[in-house]
Amino acid sequence: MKRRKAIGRILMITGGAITGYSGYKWWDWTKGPDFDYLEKHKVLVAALAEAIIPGTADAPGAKDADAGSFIIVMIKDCTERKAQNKFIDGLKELERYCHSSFGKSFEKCEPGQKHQTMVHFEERGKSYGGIMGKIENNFFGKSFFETLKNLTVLGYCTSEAGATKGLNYSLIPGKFIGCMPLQPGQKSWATR
Amino acid sequence: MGDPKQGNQNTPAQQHNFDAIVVGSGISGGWAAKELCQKGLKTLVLERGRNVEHIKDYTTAFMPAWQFPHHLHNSIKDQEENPVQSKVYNEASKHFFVSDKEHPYIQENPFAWIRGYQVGGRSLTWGRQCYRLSDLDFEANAKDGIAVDWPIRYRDIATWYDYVENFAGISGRAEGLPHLPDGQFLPPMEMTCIEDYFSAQVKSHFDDRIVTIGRVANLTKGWNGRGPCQLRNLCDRGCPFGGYFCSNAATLPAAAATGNMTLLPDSIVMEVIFDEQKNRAAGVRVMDAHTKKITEYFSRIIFLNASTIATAAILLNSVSPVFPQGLGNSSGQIGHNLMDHFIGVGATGDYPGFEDEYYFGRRPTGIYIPRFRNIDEKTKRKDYIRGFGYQGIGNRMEWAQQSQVEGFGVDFKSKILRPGPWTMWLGAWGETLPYFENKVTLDQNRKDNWGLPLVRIDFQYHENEKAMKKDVQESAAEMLHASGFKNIHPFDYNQPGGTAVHEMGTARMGKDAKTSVLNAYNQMHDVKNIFITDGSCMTSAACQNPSLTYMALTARACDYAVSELKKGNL
Repeated sequence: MKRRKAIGRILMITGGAITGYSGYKWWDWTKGPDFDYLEKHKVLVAALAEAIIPGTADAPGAKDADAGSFIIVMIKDCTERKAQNKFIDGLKELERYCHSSFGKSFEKCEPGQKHQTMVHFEERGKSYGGIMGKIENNFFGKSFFETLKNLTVLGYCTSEAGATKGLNYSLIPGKFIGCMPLQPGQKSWATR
Repeated sequence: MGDPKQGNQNTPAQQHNFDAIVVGSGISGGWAAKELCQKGLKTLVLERGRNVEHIKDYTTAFMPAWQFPHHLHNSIKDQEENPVQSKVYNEASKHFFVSDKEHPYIQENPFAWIRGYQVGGRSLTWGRQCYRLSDLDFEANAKDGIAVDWPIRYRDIATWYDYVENFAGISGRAEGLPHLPDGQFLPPMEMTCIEDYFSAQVKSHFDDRIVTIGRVANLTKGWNGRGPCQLRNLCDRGCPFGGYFCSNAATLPAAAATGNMTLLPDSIVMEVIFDEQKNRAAGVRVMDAHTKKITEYFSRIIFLNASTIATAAILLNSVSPVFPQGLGNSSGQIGHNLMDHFIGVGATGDYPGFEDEYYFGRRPTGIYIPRFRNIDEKTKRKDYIRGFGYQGIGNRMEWAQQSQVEGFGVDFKSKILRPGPWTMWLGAWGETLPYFENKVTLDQNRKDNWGLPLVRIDFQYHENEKAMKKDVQESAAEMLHASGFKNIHPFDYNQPGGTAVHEMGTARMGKDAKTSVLNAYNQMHDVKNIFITDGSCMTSAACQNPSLTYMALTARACDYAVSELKKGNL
């Protein structure tokens, strides 16, 4: 419940003064992100993305869509400082977790071990609902797992493989039909 | 300023003399160019931004998301450099918006001044919603006893609405509402299942409200050599099919076809030159945006269509002994009464049902709920005057909205690739009142790259808007609730002024030269050969999207100006 306590602290802070423990955490969240680490762990990021959206018989997966590269670009260029740090720290933590639990890196883990790891980090990354959740996201940035998931979905669904083979894509629809029966197995439109 | 010959020694005079000058090439400038050229006037169209040629310069029109570095998302660096414009553009449309860094302005209170400095202006990126004003709007100020009365009524402009709609091409459905008059419509676009259902529910639960399809300047059939719309909903990149109305596709080619138009991009109008002897505008002083060379151009009449804030800035910067407070500003009203519509207030809800229905194509409009407040005694509110209309959209949640789906892996994947629950979004476009203290001024101590004083914008919403916003949320939630929606969330994004990109009112029309800037024909009370038909002419904001009204007022003013010229009155 460390996180809940820290949010409680932030709730109490008035006038923008952040001291003591909170001050340290503030520095920790807003420090210069470790992009070196990120660049060196492309394979890990790609494997995590594939765990979110795996390749299946009916549709390509995150790897086919190169969602890993997209995630790294988005973390570097389009993500707020706090969420950048949370993401990179999350990667490091996940690496430690895999080594201490299974004695190997995530990429080399068995499917069951990968699943256990994902469940562990998903559980940790769940944000609180309501006002606590809002404050948490504003002050701490989105959790590692949430960012990973959002960027994987975004990267996949806006990639050529994801949009055209995973989803339904039409460059020039040419007409609009407001209401029509859903076809069996119909996929979502990639763009609206 | 009194010497119209200065600066032109090196070029033959005839290249600088025209029958008419139009400042700006956006929606209203494009219309002025077309009308004046077609009436035989040699017309110079000055545009401060670069040239954008129809089709050729729509460089991103066929690019799918994956061809952009961030799949359409703006980078943090970009957001920092362009904190205002980046709120409305993406990687595919950025080139049609100014750089905030290069074009700074001062915000007394947060105000989003969205600009597109290029031939076509913001007509390339506009929302294309087109609604007529009615006498409910034209009589509003007089009835409420605020600001000044409009000098026109619906009967003065009705045939001009017909005229511009017949050229532009507006799709929509006739509803027979007196306060939102029907127009000359191309076939309407279809509603989705949920919108159809919602429309029927609203009709059965509320006898004062209807839901209609958005009236939009997208062509549902080929029209005047343009279109039809291909239902791509990528309009803000420019349309290679000419599927929607913009200056570049419609009015400017029509003007050019007459052989009477000279279009000069990269030409910043610094000020209007006033001829004290003749008590009229002689022409304009223009700076080349790149070389900064100054040139003067002269004409018999001038149409200012630079957009509400820029037009006010040009007038305020045109000082002379006769008009020390800005050209044509004897009323002291220029720059004041700045209005916008408030947007980003409404409600959303989910609908459990219609699981087996979907849609095809990307419709570039939504639904519309015309104003239903303060129409008559029965609908009168105690807490505010005027009203709002809702725009809305009912569709199925798709992957981008389904981030809350739990889990990961195969099941998760199959869920996000399938259409999710139906949702409805309703957001108001609300009327704001003309407050004298909401204003545009010039800061003589701070200059832009071209040595022109920076614009200072001071704009705030007041109690009337706040009370209306409350009703907007409650009424939207009420309609969704009555229609069986679940998970209803009223919202107010708290967006600053300017967000609707409907700036209006800085050179208002009125009957009295002492309290207004323009007369019933958009002609300056003080300087008879200047006409202003962009948003600055608006005496009140109404709640309808205003561009169609600018088009109609422009065509009408051009007709009047040319007839006055012929009579020798100008």
